[in-house]
This record gives sequence, structure tokens and C-alpha cells, in this order.
Amino acid sequence: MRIALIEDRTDRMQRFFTGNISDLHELTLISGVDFQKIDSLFSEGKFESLTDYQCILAHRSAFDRKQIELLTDYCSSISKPLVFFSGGITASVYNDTAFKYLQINSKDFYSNLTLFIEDVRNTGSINLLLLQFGTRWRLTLLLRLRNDINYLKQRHSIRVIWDLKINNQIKQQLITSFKLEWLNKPDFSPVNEDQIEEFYVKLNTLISESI
Amino acid sequence: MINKLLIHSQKSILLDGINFETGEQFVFNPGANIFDIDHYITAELDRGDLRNKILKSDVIFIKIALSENYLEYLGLRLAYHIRLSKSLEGKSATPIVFVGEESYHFLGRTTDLADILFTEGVYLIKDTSQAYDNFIKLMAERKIHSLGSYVDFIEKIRVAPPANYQTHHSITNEWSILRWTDMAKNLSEVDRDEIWGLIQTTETLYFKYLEGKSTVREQRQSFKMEKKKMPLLIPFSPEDSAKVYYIDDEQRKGWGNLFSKFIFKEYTNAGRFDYCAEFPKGEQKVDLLKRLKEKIAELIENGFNVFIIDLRLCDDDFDKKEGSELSGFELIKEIKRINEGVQIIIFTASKRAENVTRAAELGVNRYILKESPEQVLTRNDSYALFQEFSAHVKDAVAKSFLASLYNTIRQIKATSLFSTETNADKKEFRDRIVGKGGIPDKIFALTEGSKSIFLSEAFLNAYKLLEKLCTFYFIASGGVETKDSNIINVIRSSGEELWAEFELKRGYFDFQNNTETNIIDVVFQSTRLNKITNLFKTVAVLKFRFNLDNDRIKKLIELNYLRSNLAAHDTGDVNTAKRQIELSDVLFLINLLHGFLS
Repeated sequence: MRIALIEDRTDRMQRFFTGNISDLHELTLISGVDFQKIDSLFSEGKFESLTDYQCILAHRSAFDRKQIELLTDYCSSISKPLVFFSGGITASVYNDTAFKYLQINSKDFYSNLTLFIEDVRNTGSINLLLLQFGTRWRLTLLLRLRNDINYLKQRHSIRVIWDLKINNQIKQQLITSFKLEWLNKPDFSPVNEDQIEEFYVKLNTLISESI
Repeated sequence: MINKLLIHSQKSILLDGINFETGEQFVFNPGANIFDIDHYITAELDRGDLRNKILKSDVIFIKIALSENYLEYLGLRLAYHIRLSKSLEGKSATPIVFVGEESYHFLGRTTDLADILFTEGVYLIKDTSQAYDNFIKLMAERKIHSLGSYVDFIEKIRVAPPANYQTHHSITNEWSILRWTDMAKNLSEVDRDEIWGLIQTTETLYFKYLEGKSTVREQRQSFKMEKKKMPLLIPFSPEDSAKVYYIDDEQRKGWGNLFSKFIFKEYTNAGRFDYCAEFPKGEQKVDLLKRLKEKIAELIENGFNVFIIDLRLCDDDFDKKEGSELSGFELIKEIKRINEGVQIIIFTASKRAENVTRAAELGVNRYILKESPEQVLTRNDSYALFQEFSAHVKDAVAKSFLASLYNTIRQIKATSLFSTETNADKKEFRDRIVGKGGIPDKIFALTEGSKSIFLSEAFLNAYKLLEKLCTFYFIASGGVETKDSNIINVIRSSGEELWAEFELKRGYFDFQNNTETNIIDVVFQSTRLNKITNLFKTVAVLKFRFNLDNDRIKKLIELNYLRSNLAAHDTGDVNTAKRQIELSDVLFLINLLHGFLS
């Protein structure tokens, strides 16, 4: 898997990034003359140079508004994960409804970059939550799950395991941790209210223990 | 009837049933392409649908998570904005009820934003119908309160600054610009809005927090509510020769506009103020310095003699490597190398002691700190800061003549006079002019100091040089050696008597205390001289060798009187309330020397 890091300010990168960028083999740094080449192409909406990359990490301030819009449209149209980092971004925001899209402060971005790339190397997938929250990335999924179950169980709309909408990234962890036999069954196996409540209690405990 | 509002991003049990009608809901949906979450929230609170709904509400329910990504805690962030928002008027104190499964303990452990949970008028309930019903019951019993004390609120919360120092640096700059423009007397709303339009960080939560802290401090001070306005203008004089140039990569944040259109408006109109508008993103320090050093040389050549400089001008300056110099200091060294008389003011957000020390080492004592939000300055403090800035600029403008004096001194030192001379006296005279630390250097250093004692010393040195120069051209037989080596006799002797061949009037000066000891309108011509004085020699040489006009000779006679009765010895014959040694006296002598030596 290849990931493009578009950074016009390599000096600043060295300030935030303590490791050696060339050790992250999955990463291709686009800066200097290479950056100048893509800069003008981006203004014309030409993104062929990014075709071979499965994820784009770009310094937002390197581009003007039009370029940012065009790049976002390009990534959105082919569901290519996109990260914009900038010192001007005050709070990170992740959205994966249309495609995986993260906006994050530069310092936070570089703090978690190694972790993110190592995960890419190990799993072959893109997990932008790792960039956003570092080692605590699973917690946000657990919280989302708890909220969903709380909502669904009050509406009595959980009938089968699939209704729990457990994110695949944490499902195995829950199966291992909760030791609930029924959780290992096929998605459309029925679940009753006692099982849901038991699941909910265990989830609460896991969340509490995660901090 | 309770007017309530639920802010959510779908998925809340409170949305079921009849708890909240459509008009009582706000769906928090910044969309996938928002530029910044704080900007989205601010836009909604200042002019969006959310603002209208809050203005109608007696209580605001907010889901702790307003995105699928729970740890973002956008609900908490939104609540801070509501509390700190000026545009909501009294409604920013409305009771806020957080809705979610998270406990106080959990939130306290997982986010810095949890402080708000422990402030007045904030509640936390589970996302269940029962919890909601219980809360509404409490409300009906009037057991739910709004925020009572804004001061207490500000003291209980803490909003972390941006993780990135450069953004923090920008906030400092923009804070200063906002303060100064807000307090400016001579600024129309249109002008102010134009400057504020360039500012981006006011919408951030951190900026609002600092603003809140500043307001609280003002409320504690008795003089605070006095909305002091100040003329944001540096007084301009068409007589002086000051030309001011401003170098700051933050000029695009609004400083460039503020300086050129207001603070230095009259200078700009007269073509005597300009600023560097070109700071390409990502420019390497080495390129920036090369470009700006060339620019500076050109500017000084074109008469710019006052520079206002920021210290950090590029990325590298935010992570200074050991042994390297901040870009601002590099430029200051270049300015000093070209012309030591050019006046420099450092205007920076950096308050590191080492930078103040370094500035002093480079001979720059005008160091103005841009107003920093962390200082929590009141309007009176801001007023004082501008006054300080203004005083430094006025001082720099007053001393801007030093740039031209430096050039004059340099040209005097480059004289070829007596360069092949073997006469020891003349050689020594030359050495005292061209040598390092010689009399011209001393004169420059003394003139730089503004105290009158330094001026007197500079004056004496300049006069001494001029007098000495003239003695070389006055020959013993009573003549003057002209430029083409001819001799013009200016005295004649008749037996024991000496007679002057030209008219030298020595007048009465209105600053003299003792008029009796002075000769009024004495004509030397055809007058017997008691002796050939140095004044006589000096005037004779200046008139016949250097063709000095009568007005300047009269001025020189006046200076000779001051030299003898005030600068060298205070005889009491000069009424110092009327006349003292002035800068123009020193410059007059220096310019005479320059004319003769260069």
C-alpha cells in the first residue's frame, strides 16, 4: 500500500516528527520541486499523479480554497481516504459517511503518523482514527456502539446480532473480551433482551476499563 | 410552558415521541467539507438557524457527541462556544443539559473540555425518556438555574491553546490587531471591518476564551468600563526626513493595512511609509534572507532610515537551531552593516529574555511586544502599549537623521586629504579623521546619545576639527592658501600694528547675558588687530579658500561664541534658557567639514 504525504513545509515537519520519515516505506513524501509540479496540476483539477496512492495526506495550507475543493472532490469521487492537516485546524474532525476524511491539527497528525503507518503495514488497511486518537482509537468506536445500543434497546429494535451494528474493527476484541457465546454466532441469529442487557453491561465495563 | 431546544446529530431517544417538536431541534451537521469546526459553530451562533433557536429557548439540551466520532466531544465544544459567545446576548447563560451515556468521571478522564460540566447552569442526564422527564419536572419546580456569574465561569474553565505554536503566534498577532483597531479613534466602521476581514482566529474557541478572561479582568478594575479610544496615528512632520519601512510576515493578517492606512497614514500619503508584502509560503530561510537583504540595501539607498522589524519571519524561526540567528536579527545585522545610523524598532510577539538581550547586543533598544492574549490586558493596558509603540517610533523618527549623518561621516573618513603627507602634524590630523574610533566616529557616537552633554562634546570635537583644518591653510605670513596653491594675503602689517584686509563683524547675540564684554558691530577691516586669533584664521580660510558665504560665516561666529562660553566653559555669559548647543549646530559643522574634505 502506498500513501502520499504532500508537505510543502518540510522544515516544520521535522519539528513535529521526531522519527525519520524515510523509515516509513509506505509513505512517499511530495515536497520541493515535486510539490511545485503537483501544485499547478491541482489547480487544473488534474490528479493523475495520485492514482497509485491509496491514501492522501496533505498539508491544507499548501493549497488555496479551489485546490482544496478539487482535491476533496477527487478523493470523494473514488472513495480515496483523505487527510488534511494544518496548524490552523483547532479541533480534529473525522467523517466517514461519504468517504474517509479527516481534518487534523499538524502537531497531532505528526504525533500519530508512525503509529498509523505501522498499522497500515500490519493490517493493509487505512484506519484514520489511529491518526486522530492514537492508541485510544478503539475507545471512540466503543462509545459509538454504546450510544447506538442505548438508543436501539430503548426502541426495542434489536432483534438479531446484526442490529447491534458492531464495527468490524472492534468485533473480535468484544468476542474475546466478553466471552458471550451467542456473540460468535452468525449475524442474523436472534438475541433477547437479557442478552442485550448483559452485552450492554459488559460494554460499559470495558469502556470504563479503557481509560 | 418551557421553551426548549435539543441539539443533536440524530440518534437520541429524546427525538422519539413528543418531547421536541421540529422547531425545537437543531441538527448539528457541519457536513463533510467544513473548513474548521469552530468556524462552523461560530457561523451558526452568530447568524445561523441555531442562533435563532437559542434566542427563543429557556433550556438547551445538547448531545455530548455530535458526530459519529465520540471522542471529538463536539457537544462539549459547542457548549463552550455558547457560553463565550457575545452575539447571543443574555442567552449565552441559558441552562445547558448534556445528554449522553458518559459519566462525569469518564468525561473528566477523557477530555480537557470536561471543566464546563462543573460550572453553574450545566447539567448531565442519560439519554433516556425517564431522565428527560425527571429533568423537566425539576425545571417546572424552578430548581434549574442559568449561569449566574460569568466571572466564576471563566475562572472554572480552561481552554488549551492550539497545539501548534505558529497558530498560537497568529492568535497573538490577531489579538493585537483587534485590540488596537477596536480602540482607534480615527477608524470608521468600514475601515475597521476591512482589517478585521483579514483576521481568522477570532472564531476559534481559544480566542473567545482569552477574550472572556480579558473581559473579566477589566470588570475587576475600577477604570475598566471606560471605553478609552485613542488616535491610532503617528504624528507626521513634513520637515524631517524619516522614511519608515515595516518587515513582518504577519503583515497579511492586518498589520500591513493597519500600519499603512492608519498608524502611518500621513507617512504613506507622503510616500514615506511602505511595508514588505511578499512572504511566499514555505520560503526557505536562506532564500528569504537573500531576498530581504537585497531589498534592504535598495531601501536604504532610497532613503529609508527607520525599520520596524519582527523577529520571526519564516518557519525556521519557530524552531531555531542552536547557534543560528532569528531572521529578524540577521536583517538587523545587515542594516547595521550598511548604515549604523538607520533606526530600528523590534515589534514582535516573542517575549523571550534571550531575544531582548540579543537585540541590545546588536544595539537595538527599542523592543515592543505585540499584545499577547495570555497577558490578559485591559483596554488601559492596550492604550499604554500603543503609547509606548508611538513613543518609540517618534524617537526613531527624531533620530532618523543619523542615517544621513552616518553617510556624511563615512565620506569624511574617506577623505584623501594629506594622504601622501610627510608632515607629522598633518599626518596626525589625517589619522584622527580616517582612523577607526577617530574624531568623526566619536562625533557620530556622541550625536546618537540624545543628552545635551553628549551634544556639547560632539560639538567641541567637530569645531576642533574644523579649526585645525583651517590652521593648515593659514600660513604664517598672514595669508590663506587657496585651492590652486596661490596665497592671498588677508592681513598686512604696518610697523608694530596688524590690519585686517576683510570685514569680519562680531555681533551681539540676543542670548548673551553680559553685553558689555562684547563688541558690537566691530569692523575688522582697516582695524588694528591685537593678534591673529584662531577665529580670524578660521574665517579667513573658510572665506578665501572655501568661498563660504556670509550667512554661514555669521553662523560660524555665533558657534565660536558658544564654543568659548558654553560648550567648553560655561562662563555664564550665555542665557541657557534661550540658547543651548543643538543638534543642528553639530550638523552644521559636520556638513561644513564634509563639504571641504570629501
